[in-house]
Amino acid sequence: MDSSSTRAEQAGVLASGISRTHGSGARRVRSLDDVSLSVEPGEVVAVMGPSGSGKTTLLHLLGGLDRADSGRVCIRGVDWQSLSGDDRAQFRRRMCGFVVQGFSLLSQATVAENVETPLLLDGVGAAARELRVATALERVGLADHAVKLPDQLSGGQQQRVAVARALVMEPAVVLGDEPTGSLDSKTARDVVNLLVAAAREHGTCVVLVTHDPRVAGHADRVLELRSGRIEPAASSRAGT
Amino acid sequence: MWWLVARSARSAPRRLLLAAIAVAFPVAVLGSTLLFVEHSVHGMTRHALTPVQVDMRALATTLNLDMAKVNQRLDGVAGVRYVDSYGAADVVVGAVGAPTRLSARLVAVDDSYLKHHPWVRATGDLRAGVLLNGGVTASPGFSTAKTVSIELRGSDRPLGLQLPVAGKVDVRQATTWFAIPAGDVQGDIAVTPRVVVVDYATFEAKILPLLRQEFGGPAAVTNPGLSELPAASLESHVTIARSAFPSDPAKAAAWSSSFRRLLERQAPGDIIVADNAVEPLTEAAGDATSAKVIFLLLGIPGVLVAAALGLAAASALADAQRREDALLRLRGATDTQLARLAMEQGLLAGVVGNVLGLGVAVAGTSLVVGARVWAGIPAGRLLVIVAVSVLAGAVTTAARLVPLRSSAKSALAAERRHVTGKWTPLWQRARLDIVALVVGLAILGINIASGGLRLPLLDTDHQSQTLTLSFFVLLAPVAIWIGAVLLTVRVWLMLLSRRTAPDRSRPLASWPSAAVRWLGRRPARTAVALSLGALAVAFGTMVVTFAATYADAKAADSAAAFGADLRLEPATDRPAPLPKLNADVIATSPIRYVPSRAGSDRKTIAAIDPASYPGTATTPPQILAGQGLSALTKDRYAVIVSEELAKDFEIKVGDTLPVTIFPDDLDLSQKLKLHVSGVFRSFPPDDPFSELVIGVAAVPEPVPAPDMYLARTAPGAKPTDVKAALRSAGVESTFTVMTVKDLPRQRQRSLAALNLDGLSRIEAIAAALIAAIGVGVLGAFLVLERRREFAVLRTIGATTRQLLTPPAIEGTVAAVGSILIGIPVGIGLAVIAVRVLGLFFTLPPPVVSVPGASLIGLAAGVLVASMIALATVLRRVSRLDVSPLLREP
Repeated sequence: MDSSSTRAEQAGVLASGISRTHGSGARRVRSLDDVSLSVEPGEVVAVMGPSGSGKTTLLHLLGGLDRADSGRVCIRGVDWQSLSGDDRAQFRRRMCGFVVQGFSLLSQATVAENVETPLLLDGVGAAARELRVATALERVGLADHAVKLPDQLSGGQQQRVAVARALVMEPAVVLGDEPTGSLDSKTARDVVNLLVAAAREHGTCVVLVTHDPRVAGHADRVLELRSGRIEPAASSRAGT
Repeated sequence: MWWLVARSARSAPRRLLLAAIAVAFPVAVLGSTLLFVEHSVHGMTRHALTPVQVDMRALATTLNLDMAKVNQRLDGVAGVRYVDSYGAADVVVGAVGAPTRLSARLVAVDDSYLKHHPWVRATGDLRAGVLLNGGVTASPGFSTAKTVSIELRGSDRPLGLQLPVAGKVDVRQATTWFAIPAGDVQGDIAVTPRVVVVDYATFEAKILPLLRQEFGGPAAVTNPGLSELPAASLESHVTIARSAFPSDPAKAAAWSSSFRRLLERQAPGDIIVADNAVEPLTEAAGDATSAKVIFLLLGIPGVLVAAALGLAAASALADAQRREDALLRLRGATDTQLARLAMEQGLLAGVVGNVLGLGVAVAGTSLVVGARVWAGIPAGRLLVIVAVSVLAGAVTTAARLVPLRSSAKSALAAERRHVTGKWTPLWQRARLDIVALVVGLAILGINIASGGLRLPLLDTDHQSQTLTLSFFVLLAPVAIWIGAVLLTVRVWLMLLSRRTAPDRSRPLASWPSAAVRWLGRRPARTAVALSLGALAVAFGTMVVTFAATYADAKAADSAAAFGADLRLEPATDRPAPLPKLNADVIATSPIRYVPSRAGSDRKTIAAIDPASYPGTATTPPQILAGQGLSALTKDRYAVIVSEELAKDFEIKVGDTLPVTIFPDDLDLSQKLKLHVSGVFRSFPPDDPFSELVIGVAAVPEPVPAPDMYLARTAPGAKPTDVKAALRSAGVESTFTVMTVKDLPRQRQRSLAALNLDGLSRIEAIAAALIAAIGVGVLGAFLVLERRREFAVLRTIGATTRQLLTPPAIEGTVAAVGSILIGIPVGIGLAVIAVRVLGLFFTLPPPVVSVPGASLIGLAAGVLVASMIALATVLRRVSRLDVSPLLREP
């Protein structure tokens, strides 16, 4: 076993030398340029940067929603490139939880059903599902709202449901793309606290893309992306 | 601005094509229906003229007229194909060795007449002498006569004409020769049993001079009270080129009347022209109007549902339009400019759609009718069809511009409302289902209460009323069609909504069941596809079921007209004994047609053998009052009369009906007092039609030879096979063997001869396509509206199969639901619609004939086409790029 694979297994998330270009011809834009990143289990990393700096592209590559032109991304030692089709979907379901900005819930499904969906897709039995959904909703403080539809909830409550859904599979990594973008500061803090708690209690890697320094303030480490590259000087431990 | 339109067409050609198809669909359905209607109606003139033997008879008002000059003038009129000389006179004929001289009808024609009119079957050279019919040759002394002598009947002046017998003539089909040419009973057939035919030149040289001496002065045809064949008649028989008649029967009838006057003007005062074409054409014109009503009311639902489909498709495009507008707005476009752009794009799609729709209509209809459909339709009518179809396209274009314009102004949040399915279709809000059902049932109720469908077809006094009522009766199925389908969809939605309400916590049983549960909470889009599909399938089902019932009614009508499995008619007009038939003919029964006169009207009596008739008739008589066949067995002088005769003569069961049989045969004429025992609607064989039916025992001696035999074939033996066997056994040397397919229908109305198969095929294909495109439109909505949802499902690890399950279920629900709702509703509608067929046929139509194979074909077509549309949608969904979708606001 070489040192890099050992590092990949030890790190929850390991990205090395990833680049991604969008568009073609004159409109060709390099969104990410040789970015490397490692997130340890239980670590919370915030990714900041101006619009168009490649934050969301990085997040999508980490979650296997997009494919890098070069470099590799591993989650718990498994390279996304080694997976395809349903294996990729199944791996994402079990290893990655996503929380994105606004309208990420299934509008026709109740709160409980939204949280239950990943479990159902994964073939978890009905009794186990019921228990895990109840626990997840309890954890985000929405146990009383289980049979409500998303449009009956406030924005903050909806985002807490999204967090519950992201965490219900107990994933190795939670990826948040502006998860507090449309929330007031108190609600935003509650949502971030839920994610940080998951990292602390379950050793989940949390990567948050945000513009909000207060959200970044909860992170163990902040990465600054500019023009598709991580600014070395800006990468720092929160509070240091 | 047009450069921008052209650019958007280039950059999104599929969107332009979809928009054009949305317009093309109603244009194609309406255009093909109208073309089919015109094609069918224009075939009616030809059908109506088929039984007409001589189109116009120019009757000399005096025998002193020089008909050669008249013929020359008539022949010069454009449109006239042939002018044939015709002369007739009552004569007595004698032969060497014959014990008595015979009264007979002498007819004089040229050899060319026999060529132009094949319904006179002659053997021998007319120019070599005289032709004798079977009535003459059957008389003692005439069968071997070499020459016959001819004298004028009732004249003291000797003619002294001796002519060699040159051959035989069979005039059984030559009804024109025996039709009374003028007067109150014009057209009545005075059956003269004995006929001799001579060359017109001989007639003109040797007989006409004496006739002129005998009957000088005004000819009998000028007498309005004429009730017999004139003792002498001089005529020109005019055949008009069929291409000269306008193809529209109403116009043809008017043209025929004016053409008659034109012919009369060729010899003013010297000739009276009798128009034999105008009556069948007038009847066909009425039938054409009814056919248009039927066709349009069968086709209009298709146009409506196609237009609705076009609008639904346009709504799907509105979202894409909104995105493009947003981009243009960012680049500085104003609302006015965007609205103008939308208008111009809509107009471009409208023009392309109209051209596409008209092309499909012409090509599709031509394919179905197997001919160039535009050929034979006057240019004016074609222009009207194009204009009406384009108008439909223009209305659809205008209607779809509304959502396009509003999409330019709508906010993203408003679109979300659609995505979440929290909207109710307009028809649900307006309760269109309830309103349409109430209207349809009200129309139907009023018609039933007023007896609209019970009026008999042949009651000419009420005919126009009947047809007017049928128009409204056929509106009822259209209203009920809309109401029943939409109400069923509403009930289904209500039940689904109740079962899937998020009122209690229930774990999801499986991913497919989750998809169904979520469908119940946002059913709007699926409901639109389901409504369109169910309306289309119900419409297609109604049309194919109507066509099948029409075909069955037509077959039943033909069976009753023919009367048996086989008919055996004497090959010549000379009596011959029935030969020995093979074992597959298990029963025969003779039918004799006895000419008679009741009052001043000539009627035909069918004299049957009550003992053998039931064993051969394949369709039992339809008796409306009194007794049927049993009365003829019990009472020798019993008569069963037709419904028409009972009404015209105001006679009832129990009355006595005095008739004169063989009124035009001096030797056989007798009076009979018949006892009216029953009234029939149909007494097979209905063709040729007999107003009265008696037992053969009522016919005094000598009983004439049978005119035909009805024959029953053994169970399992096909009549066509038995016919072939009889032919090969040589039966046809004395008897012509016919099956129902060989019967030339003389009395069939144009309406009963329509071919609805073509319309049925067009509409069934349209229904399947509409249902499929409905599913496709649903899919387009799903792709457009739920892109982000699909992306979210990807983020939580849905496999491609899991991702496609909900749209697949929704598409399947729409397609299968369309069939499950549409077919029963369509059959129910057909039950109502086919009642109108009672107006066309002699026999009442069946309640409904469900065409199993056609409906299975329709359902399979809908399913296959829908699945293809669905597969295209699913392919699109599976290829959605998640990453950019998650970046969308």
